[in-house]
Amino acid sequence: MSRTLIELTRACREESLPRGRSRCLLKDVSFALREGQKVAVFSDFNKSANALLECASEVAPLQSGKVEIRANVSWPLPSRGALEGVMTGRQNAKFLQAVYGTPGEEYEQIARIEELAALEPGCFDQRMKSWGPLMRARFDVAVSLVFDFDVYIISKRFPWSQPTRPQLETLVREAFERRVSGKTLLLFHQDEEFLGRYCDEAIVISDCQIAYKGSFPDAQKWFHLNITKSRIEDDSQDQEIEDSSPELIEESPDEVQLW
Amino acid sequence: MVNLLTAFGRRVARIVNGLALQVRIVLALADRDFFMRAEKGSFGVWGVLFEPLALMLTLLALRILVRMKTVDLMNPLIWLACGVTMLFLFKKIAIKALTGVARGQKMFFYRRIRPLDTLLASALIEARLHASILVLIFISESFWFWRIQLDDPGLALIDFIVTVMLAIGIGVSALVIGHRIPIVKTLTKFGLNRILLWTSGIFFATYTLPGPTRPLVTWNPLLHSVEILRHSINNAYPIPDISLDYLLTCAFLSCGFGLIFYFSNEALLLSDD
Repeated sequence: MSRTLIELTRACREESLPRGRSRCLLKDVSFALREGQKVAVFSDFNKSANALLECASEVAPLQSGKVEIRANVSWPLPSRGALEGVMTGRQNAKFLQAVYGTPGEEYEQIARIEELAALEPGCFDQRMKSWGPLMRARFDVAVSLVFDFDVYIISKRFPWSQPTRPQLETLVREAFERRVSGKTLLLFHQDEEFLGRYCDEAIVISDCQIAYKGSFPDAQKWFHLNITKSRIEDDSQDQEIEDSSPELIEESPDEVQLW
Repeated sequence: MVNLLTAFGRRVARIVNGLALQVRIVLALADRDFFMRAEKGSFGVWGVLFEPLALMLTLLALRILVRMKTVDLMNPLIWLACGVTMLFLFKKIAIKALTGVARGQKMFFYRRIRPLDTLLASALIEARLHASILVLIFISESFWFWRIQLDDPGLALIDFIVTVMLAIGIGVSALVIGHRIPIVKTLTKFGLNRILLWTSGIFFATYTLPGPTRPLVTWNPLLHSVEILRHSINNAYPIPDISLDYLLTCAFLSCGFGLIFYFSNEALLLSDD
């Protein structure tokens, strides 16, 4: 039997809202991700799915419960992370390479980041705060495709589809496929074709809890039968909150063509 | 037997790989910290070195102007530089350890980076800076008088490393205890800023103190560090009641306790800050 790489036990997570309010995102969620599993996440509420990814990668702390990680787990790719705007792209890439890269492959991996980010000439050696938001987002994607992890956690911001630049789309897809082949995956994305292509299992989160667990086609069917309707209503509520927060809009270039 | 050896070999390899990874992370964090300081400061990369150097030189100039000849056995500039550099080194490492976890919170987005890595990185950069300042002052003085006197470089190096360890140990211990009892953080900051300045031998030599008053200051391990550094430059410089053993004991004890406290409270540090 394959070993458990990530285990959440009775995990609870809340988010703070303005005026001292809080909202539950995960309630008593217990979930184990085993080696080799490729699990898609369907959710009636995007923030609950994101919270699950963040807790599974230990990016966000739990309010209660426990998370145990027994592998090299990625951050929710391609999140912005803690890269510094006052540093150049190369300096940031070098820093991440030292933390997550393969020793002895510094030059190759940094060159690969530069290639995948497809920045304008000279931009890679300029401060990141002088870059536009799309360049920055492309850099985040490039960084996420270069390092080797045991478990890849992919968020909805992953730019799977870039129809305006088919060559770069192919480059990114190839890099992604090479990276995740044979690896454990936890994937949340709006594009169900993308989910179906890589995942053979799925979980459905409804009302902050795991409501269904099973094979991908069954979970997808269950989700559409039971959840989709309420999801549309919740998404409009979610949008209202996002509309009031410019920072969140900047953080969500999932609908944007990056290349 | 072969299986046992293989398992042992794998275990050793895992430990070595883990240590190599931690060294890589600490070096990367130190480089990042250096770039950040250079970008934020007014004078770029050189400013990182010259800002603390200028501060120290001002202090040294004031002191030398007030009283030109401090002790007969050493050049007053070197004598004062030993004290001031070691005090600043200790203060900066220990105070940064106290506040470092909160400041480095952003970095914990990357799971591989732990609070201890950020503390070690900031200790490394301070150690590099202060060692450079000390070497710069020493070389300048040597050129000025056209003579080099460093009687025991090994002792100077050990003393410097042990002082860094002591600062990390005290900083980490105070950080963890201060997390449980917040007044400890305030008291440690007060102690580092006030009491250490007057008991670390920055402005006096231990041998000039009357015997019965020495125990009032020799409890302070930083005094031992400063005096041993002076002694390593000129072996004729007397260091009564000062011992490297005491400094080593304090450094190892503080580091040991600090690491025990840290590892039993790491999750608390991450979640609370």
